Amino acid sequence: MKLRSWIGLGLSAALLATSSQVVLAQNADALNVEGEQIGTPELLAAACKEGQVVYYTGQSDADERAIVKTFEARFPCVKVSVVSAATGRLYERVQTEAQANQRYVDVLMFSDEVLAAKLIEAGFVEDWMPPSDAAYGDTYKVKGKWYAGSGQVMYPVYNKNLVQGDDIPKGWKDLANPKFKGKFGFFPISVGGTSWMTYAFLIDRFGEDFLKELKAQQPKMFTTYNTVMLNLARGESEIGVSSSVNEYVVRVKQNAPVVPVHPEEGVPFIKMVMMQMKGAKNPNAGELFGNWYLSKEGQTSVVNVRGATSARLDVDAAPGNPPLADLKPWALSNKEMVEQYEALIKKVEAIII
Amino acid sequence: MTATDIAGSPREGWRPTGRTIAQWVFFPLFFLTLLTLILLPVLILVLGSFLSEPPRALQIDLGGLTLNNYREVIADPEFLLMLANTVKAAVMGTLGAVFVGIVLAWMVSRTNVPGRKFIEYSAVLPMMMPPLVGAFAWDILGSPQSGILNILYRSTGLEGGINLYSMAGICFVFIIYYSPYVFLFTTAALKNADASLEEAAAMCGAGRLRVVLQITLPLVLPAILSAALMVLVLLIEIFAIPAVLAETAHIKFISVQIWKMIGFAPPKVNQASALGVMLITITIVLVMVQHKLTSKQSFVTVSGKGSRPRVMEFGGIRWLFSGIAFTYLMIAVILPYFALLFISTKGSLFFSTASQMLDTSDLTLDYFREAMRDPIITHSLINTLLVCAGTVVIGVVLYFAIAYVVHKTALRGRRLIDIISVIPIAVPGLIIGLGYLWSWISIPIGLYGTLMIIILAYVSQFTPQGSRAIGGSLIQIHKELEESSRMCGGGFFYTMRRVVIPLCMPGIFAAMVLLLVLSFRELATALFLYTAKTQVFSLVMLDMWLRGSTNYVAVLAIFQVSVLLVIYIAGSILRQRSDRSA
Repeated sequence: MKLRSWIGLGLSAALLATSSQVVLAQNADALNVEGEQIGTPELLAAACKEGQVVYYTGQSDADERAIVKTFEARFPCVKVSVVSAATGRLYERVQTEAQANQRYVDVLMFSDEVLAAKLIEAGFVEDWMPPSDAAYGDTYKVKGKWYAGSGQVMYPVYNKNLVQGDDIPKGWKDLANPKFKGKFGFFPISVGGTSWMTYAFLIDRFGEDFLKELKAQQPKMFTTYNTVMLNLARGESEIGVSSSVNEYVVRVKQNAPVVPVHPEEGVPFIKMVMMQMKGAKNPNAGELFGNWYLSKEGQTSVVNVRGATSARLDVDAAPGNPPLADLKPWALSNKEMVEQYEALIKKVEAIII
Repeated sequence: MTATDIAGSPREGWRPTGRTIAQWVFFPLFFLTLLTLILLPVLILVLGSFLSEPPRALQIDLGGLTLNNYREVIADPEFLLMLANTVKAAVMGTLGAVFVGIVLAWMVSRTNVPGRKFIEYSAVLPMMMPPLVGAFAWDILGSPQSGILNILYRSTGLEGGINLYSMAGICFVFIIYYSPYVFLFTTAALKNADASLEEAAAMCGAGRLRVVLQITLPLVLPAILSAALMVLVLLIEIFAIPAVLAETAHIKFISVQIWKMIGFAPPKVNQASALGVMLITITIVLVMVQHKLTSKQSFVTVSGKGSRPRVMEFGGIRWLFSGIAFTYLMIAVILPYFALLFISTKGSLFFSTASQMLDTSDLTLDYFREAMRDPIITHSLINTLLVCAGTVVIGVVLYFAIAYVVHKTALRGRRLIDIISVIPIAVPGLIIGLGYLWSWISIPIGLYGTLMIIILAYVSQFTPQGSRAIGGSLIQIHKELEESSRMCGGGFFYTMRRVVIPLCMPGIFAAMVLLLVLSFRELATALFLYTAKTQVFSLVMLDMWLRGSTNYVAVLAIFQVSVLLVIYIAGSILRQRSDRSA
């Protein structure tokens, strides 16, 4: 090899080393997310080496892909593989993968705290203490195990083309207005953690008799909150109860004639439980991703992409949505929920299916 | 090994013959393949229905044997109502589909109705629309308040309208999307049926109606019964149409209940398996009834003799027949496509009056542009095409082998192969995915998380349709043709390559097109098997639907239907060329 070639090679190597240093320095800066340090340089280096996170989520695939774009822009060395499915289906996959010793998932988020408790009990969940731990109140986490990575509230919604004047609902009790008999969209408790918490809230605030009043309204029972909303927005129902996330999509992004009601009595807050999985192939990338997701930037992205509600009080509500505090959120702690779970299902199903 | 060896000609002596090798080497290997591919996932589901804990990764705790799952399912106060709804809708849908399918088949194959070639090609087009998309399109057209048809109807000052959120509405959509199955089976049988009996009846003075009812219909009765059975089974299991239309109507279906049991939290997979086993049992009973009915048809004369079908010459009334057929096709084919196109280009789908609906100021192609720019959609489309190709290649080889063993050999155990090959049609796609997950994840060849696991699941799932499409052609090939080849010195593989496969090409083509269509539109089977890298198109569409992005669902549905139409047209052209060259 000629001298000129050696010099060229040397220069290239030096350039490469310098640029790697620059990239590393840039990545290290990336760990500072709006003043929060979401990890150590060692965690970042290990995460970059792993290069990917496998993320199972109960939230919409399209929404999650939009959310993780912000993460991937901040940490280009880590790609996020999203697998989205209903909570029950995710649980079954995670259980089967763990029992087959084929740990595919690194980070899991779904809407059922009781199923999360079962995974913890089975030893499938890794200990995890994100730097933003203090930003999450005790109701919104099981310290060191899981954190509310996303949230939504449930409230009454009505079609403003069909419901006007004195008929406009102001609170939960208006759902029992006989005018809405047969025109009321609702859901059974068996849909999952979200519906469970809604029924728990209704019984806590208004007693079991209120469920009987709702039953007398001959509600249309849907199996997804999306169909409650679409049915309402298209004028097939006049009033309904739905999740703020599904309501937000049709009201803000599709200009549907629907109006949410923010009752004086408050609204149930439903947590999306995020956890790190034991035996994961990409534990460092998973932890970095989870830390980012719970950061203010991550939560702002979650809120803005899908109209979700963050358990972090320092995160602004999505444009067009009121702040969480104004909604008077109601939630049970994980302990209370686990204790009451089965009994409440039986109690509710005896009244309304 | 020769064809005759496999067909079972007796040989003297203890030296291993072709048949011995086929029986003791090929057959066990083949059986093991089918066992893993088809039987294992089904058996694990059946077993799961009797266990207290799911048999995940083949970890079976026999100490937990119980009948509680069945008790719990049956004790559900709404179980009988769900069962009654499911059976009622399936029977009504089947009867309607049989009626429509037979009438259209008769028109195109036995009458001089104008435009019958066009009717023949159009009548199968609803098959190109997946049931979820079809139900979605009809929801847009026929929902009571905001359905396009109802808004237009009320704008004339009239009251009332149609209501798709009803048992009648659900059955109507069933008929539209399942009559093509009856049409295909019946048309093929009518074209092959010996016309001499009809001619004889006509010469003896029988009127047209009497010939149709007493000669033509009995001639093709086995084909009609087969099609009716298949439609009935598919309608008992179908999830997408009830999921879209039945909830608002307060009508509960078993398939939707299975969906809830698996997707909801906490998941009740053992109880869902029990419900699935009940559906499997119903299907097996139906198959046995059909077998008993068709086995009595000793007067059936469907053959490959090549007699020309007898065409009834109608006068002016043929225009009325043609009008009826075209009106039906307008409703079944054009209207849903129009609804999808309309929603995919309309800025807002929340309209309640004709003027809002017909307002063109918000028409846009933005949804198409955004969908085409979305890498996930492109990626899932590529995945789907790869899955389709893999399913066709592996499926056709496997189904040909099944059909050949069943119809062309005397191997012991071939009836068992026949029975195994029909089982997947009895298992709802919603839960068979669970069976694949539970059983195949433990096979240590790195299948899980790859496209191959989805391909193999589809190959397994579509075995009944594929093996029967090929089997239908194989049956028509006379044994003498294979024997002649052998007499001339042709070995087994030579005879296969030069005689059997070329003669079987129409069936192989039919199976290929069917597999492409079915694997492109399949939704439920992949739900437990896909990953971010192996997501298929129909799952992206489901995600959009669950998210409430209705306009995008319509755009994706148009993509999907367009691709399926191209496949269908290409398949038809290839089939015609193959027919001409044969």
